Amino acid sequence: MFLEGFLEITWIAHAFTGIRIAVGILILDAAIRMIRNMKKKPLQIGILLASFAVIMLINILKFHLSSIVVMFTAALVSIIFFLVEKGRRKKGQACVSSRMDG
Amino acid sequence: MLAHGWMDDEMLSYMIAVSESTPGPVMVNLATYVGSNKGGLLGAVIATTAVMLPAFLIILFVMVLVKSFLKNPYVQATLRGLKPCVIGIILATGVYMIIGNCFAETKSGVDLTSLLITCALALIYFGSRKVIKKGLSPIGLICLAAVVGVADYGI
Repeated sequence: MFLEGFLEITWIAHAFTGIRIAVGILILDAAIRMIRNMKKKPLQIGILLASFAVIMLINILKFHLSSIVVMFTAALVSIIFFLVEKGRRKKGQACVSSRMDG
Repeated sequence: MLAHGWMDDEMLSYMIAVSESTPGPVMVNLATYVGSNKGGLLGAVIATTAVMLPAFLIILFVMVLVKSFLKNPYVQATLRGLKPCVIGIILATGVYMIIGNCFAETKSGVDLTSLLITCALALIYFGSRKVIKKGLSPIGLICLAAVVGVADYGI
């Protein structure tokens, strides 16, 4: 309520259009900093690009899919890849031990 | 509080207003004020401790449990997947905000001034890191952007 009366003062409204731009830049800065600290494994980069694309589509097409569903899917994908990797490693160990016995 | 007859409505609303103005969580401040009102300094100390103790103990308990929880490989795999996802969401939000500012739907096509301001501010913000150590602070960027916004109106 107070904010609406505040915004009617034109020069404050114009200051806020400038601040909106600054906020966009700051969010971008945070994302870039996190990307720099992230381990650059192929699966991680894949999840990054995929979730980026999905959220952009949701915003542009005004599609109503919650970002929580996206996060849940990403976690699921990571677990699946982890299980596959674990299975592959166990198979490798079994091959080595059978070769040593035989 | 009303059931125990510690305070009446008017005093309570006054105390709530004061608690919201002073730094710190409202509930903690309110407990301190009620305690000091009823029991002086000792009342204030006891009330504040009593309000913080349950949360403190719960968090302590959770931390002990969480330590072994975090070492679980499945949990680590989940976190490895969530981290890039969250970064992607934040990146998309930032990019969408900037595009939304520059391509406003009232004017057909590109809002040239916003695009110029965005590029200039981004250059100054990221470029200042090379010139000065740590560069322009986020609050500095916001103040600069506000000034530019007003200047754009004036010109």
